[in-house]
Amino acid sequence: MSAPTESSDLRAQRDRLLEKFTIMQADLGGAFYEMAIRDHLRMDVLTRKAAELQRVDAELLAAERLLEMLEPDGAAE
Amino acid sequence: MTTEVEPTAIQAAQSLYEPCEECGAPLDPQQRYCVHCAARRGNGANPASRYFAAMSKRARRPPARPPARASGSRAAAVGFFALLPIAVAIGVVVGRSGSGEDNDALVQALREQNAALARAAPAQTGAVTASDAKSTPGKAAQKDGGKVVAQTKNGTVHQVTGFKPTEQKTEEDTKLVEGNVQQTGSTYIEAQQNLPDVIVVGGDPDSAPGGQGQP
Repeated sequence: MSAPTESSDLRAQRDRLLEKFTIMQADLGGAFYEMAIRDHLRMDVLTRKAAELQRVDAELLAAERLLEMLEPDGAAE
Repeated sequence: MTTEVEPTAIQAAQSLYEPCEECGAPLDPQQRYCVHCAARRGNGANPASRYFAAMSKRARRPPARPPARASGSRAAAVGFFALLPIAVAIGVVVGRSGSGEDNDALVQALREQNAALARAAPAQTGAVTASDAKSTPGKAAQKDGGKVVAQTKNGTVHQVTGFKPTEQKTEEDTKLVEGNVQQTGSTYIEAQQNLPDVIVVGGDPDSAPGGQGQP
């Protein structure tokens, strides 16, 4: 695989992870809000979702680091 | 002791509360997330979901625009190259029409000058015989100046080289120049426009301002 193709694939993966992270974070906040207003907080459930979010966050960070190494000028796009 | 719930009440509760798709827990119609498993509801009541959907649509729209923009710029380029020869042709026509009159007059003057020089060459070779015979063909022309070189729309052009003015012309031209210096404004301009093409100014050249002897 050539460098430009690899770079574009990595960028697409980064975009997918970014979208996934954004949605999961919004879901975590929404779930906490729903539990809080109904006085039904379940910390075990929230912690499990936070752990899933943390995993996606780590993948996103790795993808951005790799992209930054491949494209030093255009990684911030 | 057991409490019995009426079947109608159970049916009402089931119709009021939808079950969670993940864990089956009852969900309030206003509830966006399940409080048991934190799963998001599939309906469109969540404003965050609506926002992300709108953002996703907006993000997908721009890639469709560049082809239209590219076709527009391509059409502009084609139009430019199609109109370029026409613009060049118009420029050439305008350029010719704008300077044609002056060029014609200049060419005519050069032709007449060449013809006059060609006529002057044999006349100079036969100058001795001409002076002996007292027949001076250019004498009439020398009243105003030298030999006539060309006729232009601005007047007659005389040859200055070798021209020897008469005393009368020297006095007239000197008075003309001295009088012209005293005039101002539009009178000065009119006087300048009516000057002959050859003006003889008397006096000693060495005593004139800006002469060779004086800086």
